[in-house]
Amino acid sequence: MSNSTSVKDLKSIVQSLHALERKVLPFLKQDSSLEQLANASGLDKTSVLRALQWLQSKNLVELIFKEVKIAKPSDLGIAYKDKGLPEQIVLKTLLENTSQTNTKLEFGKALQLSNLSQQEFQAAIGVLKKKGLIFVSKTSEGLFLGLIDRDKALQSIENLAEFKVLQKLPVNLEFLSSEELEALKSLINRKKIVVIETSKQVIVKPSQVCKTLAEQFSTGGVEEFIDITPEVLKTKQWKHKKLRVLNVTSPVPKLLFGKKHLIRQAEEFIRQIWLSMGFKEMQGSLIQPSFWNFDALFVPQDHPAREMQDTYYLPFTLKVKHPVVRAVKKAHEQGVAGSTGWRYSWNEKLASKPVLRTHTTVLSALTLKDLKLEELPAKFFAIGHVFRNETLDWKHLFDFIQVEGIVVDENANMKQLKSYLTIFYKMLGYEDVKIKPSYFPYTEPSAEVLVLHKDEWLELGGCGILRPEVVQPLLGKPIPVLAWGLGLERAVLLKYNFKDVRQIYSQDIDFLRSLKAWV
Amino acid sequence: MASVTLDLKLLQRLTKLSRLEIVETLTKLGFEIEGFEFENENEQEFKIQDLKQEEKLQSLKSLIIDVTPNRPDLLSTITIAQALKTFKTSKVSELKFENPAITVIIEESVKKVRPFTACCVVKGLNIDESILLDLIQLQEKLHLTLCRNRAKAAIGIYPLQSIKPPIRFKALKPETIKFKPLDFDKELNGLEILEKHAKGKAFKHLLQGEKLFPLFIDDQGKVLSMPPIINSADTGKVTLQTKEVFVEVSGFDLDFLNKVLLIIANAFSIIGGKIYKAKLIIKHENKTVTTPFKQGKRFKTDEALVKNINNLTGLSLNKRELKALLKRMGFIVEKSFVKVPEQRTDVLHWVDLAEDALIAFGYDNLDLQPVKTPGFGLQQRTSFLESKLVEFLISNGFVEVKTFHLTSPELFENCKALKPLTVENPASVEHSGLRNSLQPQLIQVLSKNTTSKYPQKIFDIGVVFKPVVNQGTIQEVQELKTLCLAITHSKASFTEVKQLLQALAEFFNLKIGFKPLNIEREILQQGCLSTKRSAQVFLNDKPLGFAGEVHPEILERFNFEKPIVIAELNLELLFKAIR
Repeated sequence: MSNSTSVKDLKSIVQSLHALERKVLPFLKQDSSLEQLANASGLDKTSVLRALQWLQSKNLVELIFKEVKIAKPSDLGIAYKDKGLPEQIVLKTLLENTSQTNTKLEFGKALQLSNLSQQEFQAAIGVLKKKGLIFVSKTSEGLFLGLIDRDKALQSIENLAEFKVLQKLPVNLEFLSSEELEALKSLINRKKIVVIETSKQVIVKPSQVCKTLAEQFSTGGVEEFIDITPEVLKTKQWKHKKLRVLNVTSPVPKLLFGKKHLIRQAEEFIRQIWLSMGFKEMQGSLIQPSFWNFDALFVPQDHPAREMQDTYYLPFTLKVKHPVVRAVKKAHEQGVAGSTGWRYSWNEKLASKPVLRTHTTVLSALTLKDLKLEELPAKFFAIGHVFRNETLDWKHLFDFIQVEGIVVDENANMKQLKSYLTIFYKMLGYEDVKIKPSYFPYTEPSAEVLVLHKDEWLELGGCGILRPEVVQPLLGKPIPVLAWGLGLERAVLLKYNFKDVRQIYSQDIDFLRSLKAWV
Repeated sequence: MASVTLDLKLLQRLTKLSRLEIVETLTKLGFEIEGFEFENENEQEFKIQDLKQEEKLQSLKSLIIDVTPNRPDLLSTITIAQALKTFKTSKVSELKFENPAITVIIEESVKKVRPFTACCVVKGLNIDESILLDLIQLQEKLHLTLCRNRAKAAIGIYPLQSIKPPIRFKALKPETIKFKPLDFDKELNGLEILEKHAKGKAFKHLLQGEKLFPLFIDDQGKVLSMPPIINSADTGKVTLQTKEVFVEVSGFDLDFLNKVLLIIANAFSIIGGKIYKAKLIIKHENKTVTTPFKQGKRFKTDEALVKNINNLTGLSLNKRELKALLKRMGFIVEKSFVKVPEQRTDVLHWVDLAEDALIAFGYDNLDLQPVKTPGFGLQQRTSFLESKLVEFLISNGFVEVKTFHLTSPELFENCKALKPLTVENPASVEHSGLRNSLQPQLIQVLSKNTTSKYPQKIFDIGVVFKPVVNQGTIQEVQELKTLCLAITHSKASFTEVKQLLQALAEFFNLKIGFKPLNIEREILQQGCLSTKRSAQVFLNDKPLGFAGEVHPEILERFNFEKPIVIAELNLELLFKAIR
């Protein structure tokens, strides 16, 4: 490469260099690590790495990312590094407290003089005996230690390989010789002196061209190419200096931008559909008395959906005081509008238990209660949270969002309902819609909505006409009320091809940032 | 929803339909095939599309379908067979009852524990194994659904030959009851059954605390069963040899018990059984009734009915067409009335007839029309303002997160926040507390993201719940729409959040003020914040919320290495102030 790089090429490289690259370049004369370059250039590591990546895209350096093992001294190791290893201290103690003539030192005394712990001391004795540097003699007067060869002992203190390697720490294992590694190993075997840490390291290998440039930059005098900065504008430098040529293909850092949650995007999309179809938005409390959530919708008081296992109840009382109560009681007990009713004794106490609303249909009931006959026909929709007493898993949420619409019209019928569904689901993105018989306690007829999704008919909602037993007490007249709705999360699952509902409520910020917009 | 296993061989025998016709008719009636069982267990190759091929269908032993709660009469192969056959042939046979063949004496003693029973006798049965299994399925599914896991009613079926009538329904002290329960080889007393027998353990709660336990006993003093728990091993086991049975349904509401009995009687009648009534002498009401008694529901097939059904469905049927559709759904059509089949418990109103007529007509055959109801779209102002607020936040680089309304009380404790109100009987403790602040959940979100890219700016908009307590009892729970936002990076500080809130106020042309928090965290009940480095935010002199730096104690507890600043604002107040 160096041969084929002409002066012209060098020039074109130089005029595209960023200020950061120029700062790093003088130090790229040989292979080095990121840390070394950061130290040499005085830049922080992130800036150096950015510069290096740009240089790499210009084929000036090769970056090798690898895991390296670093040997570091432990707290104990740091202490030894300073005062010497126990065997050195023992040798020193013996050298100072014995002589050619008085060759022995009593064990206990030696321990005391050495200032080592019993454990350290004994370990050191073991090591030294093995190396043939000391002897241990047992006499009637006790246990004694002595040096075998005073010169050798002195040499050992100065040339102890383990101590020498300890001085080098922290060190990259790669930079140690085989002897040094051997010594390190014996230190590692002694435990608690050395810690081995693996870390990622960047090795920078400059190309021949790069080395040439490095020479030029370190001696100075390389022509400067400028960026457009306030300084440059103020000093009008751009008039006589050349602008740096940008490499527009080189990678740039990822932008972190704000984002609406998937759920909100879906809500807004669906709200727009309802508004464009001429529906008015309904809102209401999440906590509702059982009366509005169940009784007003003709759900009998012993219906399984009302059990604790399915519904979240709250520990207080919310008694409904409204003329509708009497009519609802009658609907359950004896029937209204030609119905036989459920025929049981309706209990107001059960109706006063507050629940976390189990469906948005409660909002439809509340709307019908306030609607006056002279305001008909009318169309309403709601998008709101509902709750079911479930354990969270891939398929079940205990807190989720329902979407629901009603059409209150004397002339409404099942054909109209099916026609509304066709328009609504088409806007939602489903060309083909069909309905099949189903059951809800508050609608008759009732149906399930199926949409064609990737050649498969999938359930995506329910619909029906509210029962006269529901409408009569609320509205005062059994007018047909078309109702349909779907789970918002289900629509999101299909749209985003998620298999697990928990993905929608993921709390992983990077995941949320990465999701594509609802389009 | 209850899933029902349909024995295909039995279904074919009873309907004379091909398997393909069976699948098609089930679909028309709204039943979806939820699963299947194979004839040969090694065979596992079957796709949904194979349901369209008679040949492939031959490899199946059974189909599994879901039956909706309004049709408890269809919880068996036998009764589904009747529905399919009628749908195909329009042939309906009315359920008939013979004169009483048995007497049941309901004694005073059962009044408190289980006051009523409805009974009948079935004769002329020819039971094979598949029918026996299906009858057991019907009984079990009825127990589970309509009978609310036996709490509302319990069903017993006994071979008549081992019983000597009349039968007595009486209640005794549990320790004096002694019989050998089904699937047990020795006699137990009433209390022992609740402790030792599997069914006793499962349904213990239905008798626990009662002084007397109910029993069916025959004239010789033999125990038939101890409802709603278990039959006797000696008298209570139907076998393939059984030709005649005694059926009882015990519980609390005679009308309801009779409905359950009608469903069972209908099933026996389909397989050729003759239903005989039972004479009940109810001592505690001093009266005699016979069961099953007919509900006798019927609708006059006049012009009004035809018009009503046409209006609701959108069809234009004439009287003859309507009658034909209803006939296919099992209704008994007479000259000027349609009678509701006795086993149907769900028909309360003519709208129920309308749905059945529409099912027979076919939901797929409903044609589309232009929609006609006028109206103009109207968005709620608060939902509009919320989108504006979100617009401001995302343009400032905030990522929206969504957290649940129900959360872990432990999390709130760890954040030194006010204890949340807990719901009754939650399925999981992790989600049992109604949050009163969004702060703890946002801290939790950030704690899961210490390895995500920085800076992190997140927000959540949601409802928080504030109980209003008076003299120890909750009067009401206020729901407040709330915004909470959090920022974390190495240099996050109060200044940043104050700048943001001032910009937010400016965006909506509002004026907000900041006051120091010179109180203890515990008193403030905003335990996350460092009170020395946080402020209360005011809007027109009303407290709007809080903003400040999270206390290092909390940061350490969640292993954060960077500071966090948080703001939480009451949006009800904010939105009201926006002009």
